[in-house]
Amino acid sequence: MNILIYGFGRMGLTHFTILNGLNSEIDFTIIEPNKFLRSLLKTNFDKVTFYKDDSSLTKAFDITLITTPPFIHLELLKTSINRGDKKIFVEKPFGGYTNTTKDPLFSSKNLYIGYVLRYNPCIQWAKSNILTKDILSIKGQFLSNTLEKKPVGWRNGPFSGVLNEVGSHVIDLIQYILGTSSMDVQSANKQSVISDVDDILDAELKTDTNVTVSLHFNWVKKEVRKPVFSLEILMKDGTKYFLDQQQVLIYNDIGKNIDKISVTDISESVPFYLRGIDFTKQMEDLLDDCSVMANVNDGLGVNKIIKKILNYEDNSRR
Amino acid sequence: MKIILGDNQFFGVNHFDLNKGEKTKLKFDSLNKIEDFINDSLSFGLDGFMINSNNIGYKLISQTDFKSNKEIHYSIPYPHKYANMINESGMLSLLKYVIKNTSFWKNILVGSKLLLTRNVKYLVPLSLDIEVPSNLKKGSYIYMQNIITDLLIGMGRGDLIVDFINSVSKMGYKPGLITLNPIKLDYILNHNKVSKISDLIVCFNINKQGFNVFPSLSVVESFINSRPNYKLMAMSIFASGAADIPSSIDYIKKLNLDYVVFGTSKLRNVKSNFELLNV
Repeated sequence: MNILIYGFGRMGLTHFTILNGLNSEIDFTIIEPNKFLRSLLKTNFDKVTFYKDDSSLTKAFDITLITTPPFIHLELLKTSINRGDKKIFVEKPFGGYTNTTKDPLFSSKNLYIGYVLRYNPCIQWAKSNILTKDILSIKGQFLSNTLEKKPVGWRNGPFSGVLNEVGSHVIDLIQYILGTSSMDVQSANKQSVISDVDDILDAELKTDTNVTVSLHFNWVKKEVRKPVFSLEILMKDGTKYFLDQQQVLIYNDIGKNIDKISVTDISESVPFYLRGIDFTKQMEDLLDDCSVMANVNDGLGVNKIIKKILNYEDNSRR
Repeated sequence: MKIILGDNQFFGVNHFDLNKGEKTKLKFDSLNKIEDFINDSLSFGLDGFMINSNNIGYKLISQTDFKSNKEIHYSIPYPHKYANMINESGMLSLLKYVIKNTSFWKNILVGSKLLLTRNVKYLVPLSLDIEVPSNLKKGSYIYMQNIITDLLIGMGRGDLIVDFINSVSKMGYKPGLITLNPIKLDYILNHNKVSKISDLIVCFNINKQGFNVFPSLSVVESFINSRPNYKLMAMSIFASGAADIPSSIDYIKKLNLDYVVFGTSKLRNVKSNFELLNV
């Protein structure tokens, strides 16, 4: 099997390491435009082929991973499709939040978007056990201490920010559980604390099926050591589910905790672990049939919601 | 089996209950409180303590003179610091940080080789220079954190793990490796020349529930029974707090292990766990 990876930043390195950990027979080709980094990589990975760009690559790859900054996703995707690559994985958010229209190019059945939190065992439990039609509201939250000082380059621009970089994960989880990305913004507020874009974001939305969606994202929360996400799902009968990485708590209509499903009860094993079972499960799915992975419609759905929130927020400031 | 106090409670780490972890962190909001907790725990008879090289751990080892002969198990690096660095300024910022923060002579001796050859094997001694306080008692253990060990395993750079072991030994310390992939690590250790391998401790998850035990509980149990020629340390023995403690300890005691490490924020739990492990 031959795999091409565009970009060898943190995500490129993570996916490469897991894939190689899962199957050491894979032939890797990596495109890394940074000359110094490429030279460093060439010295240290003798089994991997490195290129400055893809201009000399004509043979189709079994799998291509696009893990570059989002503003060049689409250009690389076109090249990959034209080359005939069999399966293409694009890191989230797919092409950035401005990419909301379904290009004919995206009709490729084997195009997937990297929303890794879907693979969390608690999320899989929710997907299998919560009846979508009975959901009244969902609150989604993501807290981290990702930024300690002002980021440089594109990470301090409109393609970055808490909504694009981490909020998109929670939005994907909500659309994954609800089965719809059709929602309108009721209110939105963003704050820049360290970066020049959104570091804290709050929004209220309503789906076409009248489900209320509340979002709170903060990636400059100093008290948080490791990133944490949570979902609070209120059902029409008053039952409430609270989910995070570790557990699902179930409350009855008078707020009494009636059940608890711990990740220790539902967690699965993986043949190679790097940074969370979710990441390995995602790469296993990519090597297999991509049954859980977000597809192109899911990716565009998240982008549409992000764009609506940012537009609403901008308009309300004017 | 030696019993070591873990450090997760000091830094608000609770894999099972994130809010509880944050509350616990507040309980240890000064170096004195952490030092007292460690000394009180050791007074029960524990064999040593583990501490990470984050800001608090580094200061604790730099500023505290632990008088007892108990073992210090020091783990490097603090992965979140480097992850944040990469998030903010990209991959190469890591290299710049290492060069900038290494001592002048170490940079002359080793940093120049790194820049000339671009071989990341020279990062190993530089990282040790940055992360290990000069007054860490000789003979202490220095561990490579699992995120780095497992990254190197996945990348196919087991040779760098061996370099780490040999560099730590040369510094007058004993090497340790934390991993969540003990079987893959064992393969590397069996296929490379490792000096003083009997000094090495490999620390990995094992618990009765099989929670986060990779690739599977039965495979890791067989690995323990195979008794490799290095020491074995069990971590996550209470399945991140989800398990019944007496039965978890009972399970661990039946395994042929050299060390066990556990963390708790309550001294009475340190004492009771220690007693259960020693019955």
